[in-house]
Amino acid sequence: MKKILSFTLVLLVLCTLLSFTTFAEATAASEKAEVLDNYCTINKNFESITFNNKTYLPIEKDAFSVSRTEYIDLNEKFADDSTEDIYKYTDVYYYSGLSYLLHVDIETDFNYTTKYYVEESHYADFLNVLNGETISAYGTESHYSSIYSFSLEQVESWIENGEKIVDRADSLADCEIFYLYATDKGGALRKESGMILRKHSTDDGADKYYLVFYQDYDRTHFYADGRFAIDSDVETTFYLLADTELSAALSEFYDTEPEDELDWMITGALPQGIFFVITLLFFALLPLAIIIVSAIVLLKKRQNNPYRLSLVTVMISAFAVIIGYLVILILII
Amino acid sequence: MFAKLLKYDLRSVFKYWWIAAVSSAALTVIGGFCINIINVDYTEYHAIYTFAIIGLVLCIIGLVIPPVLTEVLILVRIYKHFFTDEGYLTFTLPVKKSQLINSKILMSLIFNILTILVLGISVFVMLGIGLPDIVFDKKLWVDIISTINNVIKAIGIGFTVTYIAEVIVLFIASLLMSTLTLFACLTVAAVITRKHKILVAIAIYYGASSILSGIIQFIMIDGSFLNVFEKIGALGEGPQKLCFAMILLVIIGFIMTISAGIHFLQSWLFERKLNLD
Repeated sequence: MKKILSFTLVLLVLCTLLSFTTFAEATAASEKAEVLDNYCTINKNFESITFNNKTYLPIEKDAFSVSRTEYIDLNEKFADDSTEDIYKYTDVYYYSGLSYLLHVDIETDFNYTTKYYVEESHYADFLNVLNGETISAYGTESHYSSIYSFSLEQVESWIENGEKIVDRADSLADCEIFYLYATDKGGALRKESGMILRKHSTDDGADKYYLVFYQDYDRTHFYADGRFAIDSDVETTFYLLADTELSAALSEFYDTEPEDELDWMITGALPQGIFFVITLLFFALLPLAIIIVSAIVLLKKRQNNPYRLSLVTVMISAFAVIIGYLVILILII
Repeated sequence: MFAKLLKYDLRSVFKYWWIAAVSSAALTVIGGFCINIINVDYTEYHAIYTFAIIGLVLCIIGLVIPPVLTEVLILVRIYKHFFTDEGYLTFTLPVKKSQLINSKILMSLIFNILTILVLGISVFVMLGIGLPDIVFDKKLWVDIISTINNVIKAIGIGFTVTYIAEVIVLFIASLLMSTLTLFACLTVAAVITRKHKILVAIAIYYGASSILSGIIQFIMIDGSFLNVFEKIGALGEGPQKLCFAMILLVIIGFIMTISAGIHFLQSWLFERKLNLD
């Protein structure tokens, strides 16, 4: 036993030493990779931020999402002390390998908001993507090979020439639904859009696609009367779909609920009375019977009863079950 | 006398339990460094990375050992103290049998809670060493406090206190039921057989667990049949909160009734049926 213990102890010490040395080496490697100056200056009332001799301007947060997830904490300095006093905590981060976008968390009394700041030279590009006006060409430095940039003009060109760029597509009654992702040059900003193209084969056998719907969207609903609606966080838009055949196909696709084999489990399919009786039995009558039996056993042998603790606990617990059940029953009926 | 019984029970289990607890704490330190290494860019350090992964896996396995060992130590203590030759001596002690049983149950409860505390601290230490940027990030803790504050604001202080109290009682009741079930299975095995008591006890435990979980599942499915939660969702805010408090109360009551029932069976077997011949 002593030998085993000694051997385990030696192993433990060795493991700890190894962990320390490897940890030190790895930390040194990570420190070497860190080259950026980690200080940024927050200018008056968060109007802009200066970092690495570049100026960053605020941009609307809700209009897009950021593809990157790894960010590094910066040390903040305030150009104006009075601003610092207002905010309890402020954290500024930059995304790994993407220094033109800053992520800023501002906190006041346990409420915090997130803002994004974009470097001046990228600002116009960002705004263009957000407004859907012009969209930059796909950046070569992007790590996201499945993301494509596009503009309305490009979409029109695809329709005209029968070209398409597909990220993900679902076939639906001769239509194809495309999910497209617009990105800025660096591949950081991400904006999702959807469109429905209808496929037509020309006489010479070539495929052509006609745009029936194109919109930024979150969720789409189709109605039998030809309308379809776009639910978005910002606003809801209704369009009238002139193509009745397509409208019917879409309605059928989206509105038909598949038959559920477990439909019989839905309460409505079975009489409620049965379940009421079962719960009454489990949560009221059975506990009541337990209380009565326990009381009888308790009363039969009042002194030196070795079961007193169990019986009293049983009675109190069963009583709690009945009370809880009755209150729930009264509230939901 | 009960205090003395408890003291000796605690001392007997603690004699080995602390080794598991200290080992677990030591492993978490190593595990923390392993996480730290894994977190750093490893492309140039394949061997280090592999070592760190193996170390972390071993540490996680090591963390599983204390709860298992605690249960085993408790069972061994109960078994040796009651159902082996030592039992003859135990039952000659000038104490009530109920005191003997209750001392074991309390001891088991204390060690289960201690084990959970040790595991919680160990995991925190491991993450603290391994991911210091996240664990000691001021923002994370402010977020947590802010979320808790928001939840308390939404629920109300009265209901928050009620829910917390109910969850604590539920936690203790569940531990109690688990211990009592194991203890009762050992006793039933000792009553019905002379040989292979532990084997029979394990078989009975599996049978009893299946029956208990069957009952609980039946009740839960029955609850879903009634669409109880759907109906609760349709209620106003106040009644909804009251309903959830009552649901917790029913669950606690149910578990406590079963636990007390097992305790009754246990005491009855000790009083009337146990024969160590």
